[in-house]
Amino acid sequence: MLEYKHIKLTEEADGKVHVVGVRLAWPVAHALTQALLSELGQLMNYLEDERPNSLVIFYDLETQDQLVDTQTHMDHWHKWESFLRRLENYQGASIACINGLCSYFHLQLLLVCDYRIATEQASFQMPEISKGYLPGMALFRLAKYLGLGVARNLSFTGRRWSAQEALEKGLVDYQYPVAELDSALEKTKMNLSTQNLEVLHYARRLLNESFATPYEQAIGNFLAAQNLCLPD
Amino acid sequence: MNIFVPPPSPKPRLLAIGTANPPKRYTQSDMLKLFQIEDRKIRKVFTNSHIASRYLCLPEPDANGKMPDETPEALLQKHKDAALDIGKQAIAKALHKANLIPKDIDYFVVASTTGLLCPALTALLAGAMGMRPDVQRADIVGMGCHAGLNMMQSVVNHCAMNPSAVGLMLSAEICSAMYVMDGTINAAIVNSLFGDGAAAAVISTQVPRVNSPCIPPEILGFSSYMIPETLGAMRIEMQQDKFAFWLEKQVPYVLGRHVRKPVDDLLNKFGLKRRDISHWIIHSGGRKVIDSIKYALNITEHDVRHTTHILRHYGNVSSGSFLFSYQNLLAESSVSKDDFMLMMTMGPGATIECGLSRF
Repeated sequence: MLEYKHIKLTEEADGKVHVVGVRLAWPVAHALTQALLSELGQLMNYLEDERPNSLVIFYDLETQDQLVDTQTHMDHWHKWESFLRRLENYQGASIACINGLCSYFHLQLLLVCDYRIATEQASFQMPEISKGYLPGMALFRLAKYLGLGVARNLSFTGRRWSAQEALEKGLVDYQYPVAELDSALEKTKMNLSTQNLEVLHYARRLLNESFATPYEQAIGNFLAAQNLCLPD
Repeated sequence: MNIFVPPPSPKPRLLAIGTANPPKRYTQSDMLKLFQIEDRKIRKVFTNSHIASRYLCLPEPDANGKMPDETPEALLQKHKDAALDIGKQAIAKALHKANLIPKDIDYFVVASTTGLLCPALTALLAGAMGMRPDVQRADIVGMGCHAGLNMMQSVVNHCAMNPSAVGLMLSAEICSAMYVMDGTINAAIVNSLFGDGAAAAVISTQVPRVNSPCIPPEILGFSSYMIPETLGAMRIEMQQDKFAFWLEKQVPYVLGRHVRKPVDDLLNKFGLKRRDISHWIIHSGGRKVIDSIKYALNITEHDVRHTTHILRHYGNVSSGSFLFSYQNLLAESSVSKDDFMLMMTMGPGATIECGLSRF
């Protein structure tokens, strides 16, 4: 396994499913660095090549509050989206765990994860537009997941959502008391371990493509994917 | 023991490409009108094919507006005449782009499955185009849609062994010479899918000043994969004394289940992963084939845009389809130095052929 400076990886074989835990040492998640992007690229190489069909859990997506404004280079935006896209296309599943403020790039990462678990003390904010720039492809994903109106509310106002509000609007899937986060995560892992992650991968792709695909093409996509899901 | 290790030789490059089609283009609704197809199921096959138009060599309707039944002899003659006509045009375009003339060609291969000729197309074209009498030739017949990469491998091997040689390959497929109108769904699928076209490519380790803004890609290697249990799934049969192509409906899905192996085997040889491929040039075998490949390889609709474009505007041009897609990529001017390109063809056998190139 590669050595990372910004990422701490843990691995466990939990029943049927291999679990890769990812902790990002990145509280100032309003800024990207070349070093971090390079490590995220290496992480995806590792997951794709060595750990396909694993469950990847992003722990502690907690953003430092009151961050000083900074600018992200255009090339970094491009590389960041490449990382998100790879995670979105990964042949496994992903979970995001939120236990504090989730904002900026952390929120963008949350949006590409399959399952989002928040504690009661989690909160969510998208302040980029009020700071004078765009929150990456999160705009695209937010509108698809939550609907235009809700996406506009979160992104235009920059207002902070509570965990309860995020749950009600569909930004997170589950909300638990802080003390129950670990057991909730275990329960989610157990549920996922009974699923075929390759099938989940195809389902995710079909869902992601559904808004932009006419039925005549979608039926072909479904048949192609189903062919790969069913046994010979 | 002293072992002689030869210095690394330059890889053959795909110097230039030229394509040509018959003059007449038909939409799917043109076809339904011309052949007076009223059967609802067959009309649906045509309209759901994801093909807008194709170039075809079709006879004119008779005085009653009916399409004449072409005899087996007429179909063979059509194959010969059209293959020579558009084959010459495609070769002329490719040679012009490579700043070469027919006499520069040392090795010449033609792939065609839509008609059998003796003397074969290489002999007819070499004479007609003024190639040297000592040009070496080979004709690939009966390999169907995947033959384009088999042909490229033959030319690349020749050029690698003869570094001063200039190789020329031509796909000349007149699919309308294999049309049988028998009212069956299989015939409808074949007749709604294939188009006529020729594609020529010049290959050499020598790189002349080519008339192209793109860097000619070096061809690194090939892989093949046969799926034995599907030997008869794509085949030519005699129907009404004519050659007719038969395509079983499970073919796209069988290809989808097996395509990862030849792709990953080839990439592994060069220490590459699928994510390292910048350009996917895939045979336009039909929408279901494209979908199956796309999902099996986890590549995007954008990755197969050239393939879908060719399918939409030219149909399945059999062994030349992937070269039409490659031409589309070049026209886009999106390639950069060191980009990797994976070419893939599929056809009877059932066989999947892959070729790896680097710009």
